[in-house]
Amino acid sequence: MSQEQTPMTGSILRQGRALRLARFSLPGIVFAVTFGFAACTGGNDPMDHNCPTPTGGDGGSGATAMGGMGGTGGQGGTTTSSTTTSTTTSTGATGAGASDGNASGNEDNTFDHENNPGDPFEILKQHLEEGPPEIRGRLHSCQKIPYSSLGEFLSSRGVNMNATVNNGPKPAGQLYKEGKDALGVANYDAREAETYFHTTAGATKLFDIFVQAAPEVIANIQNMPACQIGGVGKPMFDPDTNECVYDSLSCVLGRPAKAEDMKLCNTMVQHAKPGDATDLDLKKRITVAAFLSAAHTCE
Amino acid sequence: MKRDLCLVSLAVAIAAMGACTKDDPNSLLQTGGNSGTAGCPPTGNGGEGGDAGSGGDGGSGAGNTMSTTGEGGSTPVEDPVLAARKLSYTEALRTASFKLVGNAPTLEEMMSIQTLGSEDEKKAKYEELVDKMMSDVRFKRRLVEFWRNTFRQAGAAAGNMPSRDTAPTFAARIVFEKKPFTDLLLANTNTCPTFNGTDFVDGNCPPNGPEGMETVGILTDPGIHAQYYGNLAFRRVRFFQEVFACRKNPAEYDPNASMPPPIEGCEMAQTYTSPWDFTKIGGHTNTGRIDFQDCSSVICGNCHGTINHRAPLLANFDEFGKYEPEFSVLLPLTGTPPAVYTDFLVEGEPTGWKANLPAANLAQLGQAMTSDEEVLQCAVTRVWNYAMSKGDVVVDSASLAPEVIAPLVQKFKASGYNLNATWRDVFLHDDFVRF
Repeated sequence: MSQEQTPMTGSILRQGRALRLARFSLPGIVFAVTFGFAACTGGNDPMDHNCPTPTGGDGGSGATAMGGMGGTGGQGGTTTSSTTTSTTTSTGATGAGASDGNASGNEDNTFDHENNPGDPFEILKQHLEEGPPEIRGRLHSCQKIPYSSLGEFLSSRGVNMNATVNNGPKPAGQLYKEGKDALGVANYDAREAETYFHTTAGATKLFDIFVQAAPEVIANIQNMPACQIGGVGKPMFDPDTNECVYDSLSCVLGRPAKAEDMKLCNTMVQHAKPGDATDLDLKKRITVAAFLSAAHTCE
Repeated sequence: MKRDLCLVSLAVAIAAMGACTKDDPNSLLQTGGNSGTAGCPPTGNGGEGGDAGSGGDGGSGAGNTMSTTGEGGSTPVEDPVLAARKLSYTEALRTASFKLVGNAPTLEEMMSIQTLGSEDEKKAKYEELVDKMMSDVRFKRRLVEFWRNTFRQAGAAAGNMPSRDTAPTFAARIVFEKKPFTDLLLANTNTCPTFNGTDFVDGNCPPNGPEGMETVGILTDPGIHAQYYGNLAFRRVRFFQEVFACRKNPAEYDPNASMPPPIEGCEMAQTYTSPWDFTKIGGHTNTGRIDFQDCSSVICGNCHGTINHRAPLLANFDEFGKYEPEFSVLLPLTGTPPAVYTDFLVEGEPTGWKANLPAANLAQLGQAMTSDEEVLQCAVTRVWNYAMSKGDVVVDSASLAPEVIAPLVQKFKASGYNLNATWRDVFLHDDFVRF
């Protein structure tokens, strides 16, 4: 999925710091879509042909479907996942797994992103790369959605922010409430404001929340006032055709969906195994999660 | 090719920095046109008609053109990056909605723009929705949060600690109720309002000093002084500098600063760049107990020239933000003695916001700050950076070329410092609605 093929991120990628921050979103999208196509159903079925098989490597740190996270030495793991429709190959980074100060990987794998910013001279170098200040200042950058706004948004799209479980995967609301620190909330006693930009941990947490939010959004979006016109809402997917519903996808995105969005949305769902309701449900979830991640990495 | 251009730009920028003989750290952060970096060329542009000149102030709101200043004069050219942006009122609505009311727009709001035929109609509808959002109670909440983050403080009163909510609440109220931004540094009543989640409620700060002590905006806010309590009141100085001038120290930079007379044991390896008289700063040549005249490595006076002229004005507030008759901040020396005036400056040396903006007391400090062009520009910069997702101008090194917001600053001043109008202008700005 190239940048040009992704209108949601296309406008972002043209712009200044957004280019750097968008790198946070791309792994999430690639990650999500890869899962969507590959339809790995988790660890329950080790024989599931769609689950990628780590082939290992001398560095031993190849992570399932994410490529190597960068071992501390040697060669990162290599993971290949193939289906009839797509093939993704991700190679773990060699050695420390980092290049140019990035956290892991490189531009040839799926988990290349900048590590947490902080060094002011690195920021200044980044600014210089973004262009002259007279231009840079006139372009939108990529600020994260503030913690409180994220909660408001999820709630308005049908997520129960008070849901908790004692065992098993935590629901989105619980991840949200327990993820304050990762999501960069303020620590005023330490004279620290809420962070304006994602850290690696924060972006990862955000994607986790979106993945868990997706089934709740699918189940409830029709009944959410924010997603209704004239008091009437629509489902996320057409119950007969399983196609994405324009109004609901728009409501998830926060702006009217484009033709490309609809095409991508439908494409992802259509890759469900024929006659497999479970797989179809997974595809729908991952589709919504992918759109949430792509649309709301930046405010 | 693109990479090559980047490298060339970087090389030019580095060369420009290297050629700057003054060691003002802010020269790395600032762009052209700031008096504080007069000795340094604008970063990475200008020169012989390269891609981005630093001249002209016709940038913002004027479409996609900019001026290229070269030896042959100024010629408007279309910048390809700006030209590549696409006008989108629905995309702008999404971003504006998150920023103004803390949530994505509703489906009805999105479609109310999407279904319109012409761009003019869409623009009018977008403006209507921005106005609606700016009158929404949720905008009050966002403003409170914005100022809490800007001031990096919040929290209810507890024990001896005063409320740290009052200052950000006061600032939010000023913006929402379209009061002059200068009230933030000048008002003498209702400077400690509260916010109940829906409405701002009048409130004066609790008795915070000797009877009859004048309130001076947030300059006397007990929460700020408690939050930023520290040795020699330097943390408070830094707070007001960074929040209101949008620059790290050194606050002032004078390329023509007078070098001090030769001082024994202090052969300066670098240039003294503060406009203040070096010999009047507390140090080893006078009675200062901490040597701010030290120049064995860096020139401390380059920052402390200004810092030490401001700190005495803020040094009477104790750790709970209460104004005391005597200085109530300490020195980081054995026994942590209280600071005295001569630790900052020699006796008789007056205090001030800047060398050309004297201030003998807090009321005058407020007057000096509100008459400082840099402070006014900073207020607009913060709104712009918030809207354009640039991050904090200081913490995130998100400095802004002055020409980008020059028309907004002019309008801000002409409006009587109505920052609410600036918020509206920014969210309707031609640059904001292009992606």
